[in-house]
Amino acid sequence: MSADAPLRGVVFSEPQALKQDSDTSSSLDCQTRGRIDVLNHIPVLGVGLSFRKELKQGILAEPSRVDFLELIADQYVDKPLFREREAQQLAQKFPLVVHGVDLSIGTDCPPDSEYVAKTRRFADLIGAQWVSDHLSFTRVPASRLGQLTPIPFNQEMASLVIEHLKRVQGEFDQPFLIENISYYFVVPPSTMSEAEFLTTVVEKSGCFLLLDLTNLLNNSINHHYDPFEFLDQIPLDRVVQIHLAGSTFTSKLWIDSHSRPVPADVFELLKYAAPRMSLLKGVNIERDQDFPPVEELFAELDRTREILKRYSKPRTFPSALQAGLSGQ
Amino acid sequence: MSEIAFQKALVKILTDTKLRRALQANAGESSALLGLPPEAVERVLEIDPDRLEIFAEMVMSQRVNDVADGLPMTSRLLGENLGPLAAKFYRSSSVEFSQRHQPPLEFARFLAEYLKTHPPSPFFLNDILKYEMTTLEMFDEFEEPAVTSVDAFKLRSQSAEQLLRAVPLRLPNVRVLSFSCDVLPAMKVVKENGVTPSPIAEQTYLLLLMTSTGAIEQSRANLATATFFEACDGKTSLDGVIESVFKKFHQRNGPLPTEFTRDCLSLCMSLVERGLIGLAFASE
Repeated sequence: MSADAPLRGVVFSEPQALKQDSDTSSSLDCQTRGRIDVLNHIPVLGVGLSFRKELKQGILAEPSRVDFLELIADQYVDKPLFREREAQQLAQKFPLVVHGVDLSIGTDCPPDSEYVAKTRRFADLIGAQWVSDHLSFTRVPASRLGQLTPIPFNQEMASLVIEHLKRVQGEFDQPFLIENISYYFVVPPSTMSEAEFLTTVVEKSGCFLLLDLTNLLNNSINHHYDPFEFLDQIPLDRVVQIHLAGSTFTSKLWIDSHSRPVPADVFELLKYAAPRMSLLKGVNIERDQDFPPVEELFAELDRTREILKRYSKPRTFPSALQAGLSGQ
Repeated sequence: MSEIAFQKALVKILTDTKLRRALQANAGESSALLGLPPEAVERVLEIDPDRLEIFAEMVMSQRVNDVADGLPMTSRLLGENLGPLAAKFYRSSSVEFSQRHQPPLEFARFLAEYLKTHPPSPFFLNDILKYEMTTLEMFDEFEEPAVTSVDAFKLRSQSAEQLLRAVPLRLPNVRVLSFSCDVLPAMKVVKENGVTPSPIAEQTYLLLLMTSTGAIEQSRANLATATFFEACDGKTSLDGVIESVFKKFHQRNGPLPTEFTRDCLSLCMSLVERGLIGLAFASE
């Protein structure tokens, strides 16, 4: 998967006919419609970065290059107060969103109420626009795995996750998003495809989606499916945020390392999906290691903005997004 | 079988290489011996073994990275030994870490014990470890400093008798450490160049202060200052502290030389003004 080579063995398909908003809204329950109302009052944030201490100096030197920042909740919760102060200082300069990594929603233990409460407290403290976490499990009682671990794609697990998500969402004033992960093995018994599973969870829980396009690409190659078909099967009109990152090829698998530039294939997926994401509020790039000069990351953000500007269709994107982009 | 039972088995199998090999060789016998539900093990063994192995390596790699992030200089000096030592640590650890910030500190404590029976290489590895372990402890135990400023004029206008009756105490977020080499330039070389320096063996002392922004300020000290600082226990008056310091160096009782008392008073005021110790007067 080189930076500019097209996807191999994947047939590009034409975008499906766009759904009318009325088709979508009529099937939503009251709570979900309420959450969408809340979301409609949140401004489109634009194109941002996942905040890492290694990038702090570069970001603060040129704040106008970054539209928003995503903070990892676990780097601030249960940490000394000076960490919270740092986050509050960032909140004065940037719109912020909060991203958790340890909710571990994909298990039959109820969500850790303390973790949820602390994440909520932090999100409120910094005025986060929304909160997200992963569709995975990371721990069992008294034991942390420290890795986003896959869960089986079946109706029983979907029901568990839906129940948990309904409970978790109720704890936040902000919209709550769930993210698709890179998974390297299928957990048995999986009787649904990943797309079916994700769609069921999102639609029945009423939550929103943080669509990680790099994870989608990794999974499509590692598990031999068409990522464009995947995009056709999931509710793109529930996508609020997108993650982009670069992966590494190790041991015959594409690994979600966040250590490389965003590859061209991921941008192709963004171009394909962008016109249908009516609720999209933010796209951010994740870089966790092998940090390049910050100007390279800013250039990736600019490229992302250009793609959104070129591939969004005015009649399906909120006018605020267009106004935000034209202001760049 | 509940999902949590399966996930507990999965976690155990992912984090224990020997168990994983044993199960792949003989699932029935091993799962019974190791107390795992057979049906959970069977389900795990349905997973592609190559991919399970890759993920297990990722889990271990992340654990090693967590340790390296918390102990960067120590990790650099350990080099190739870091991985095997981290694996040994996680195998031997009876605590299943429930918080993300625990492993580096617990590994540091494990390594400190390990180095008591395995001579460190390079010789100053213990010093670097001590420094990094202490900064992790300071992070963990950080207290918001009280918002009081030192009134230097008031302090210096106190008579010697008043000062001697005051009780000095070590402030939170401050530590004093002793090292077997001049650790500051050694750390600079490790941090900047990633190479192993060759410091001269000599006893040195540092006073570390974690500021309200989480930064570490460090000052060189000598044995006398370190001893004085350690004696400020928050219960003993200043004259008692000075007396105990004198006894440590001179191994005798009797009246204290005036010059020694005067030097200690001067040191005390300097440490107070720099926010390293507090001083409680009798009227407070």
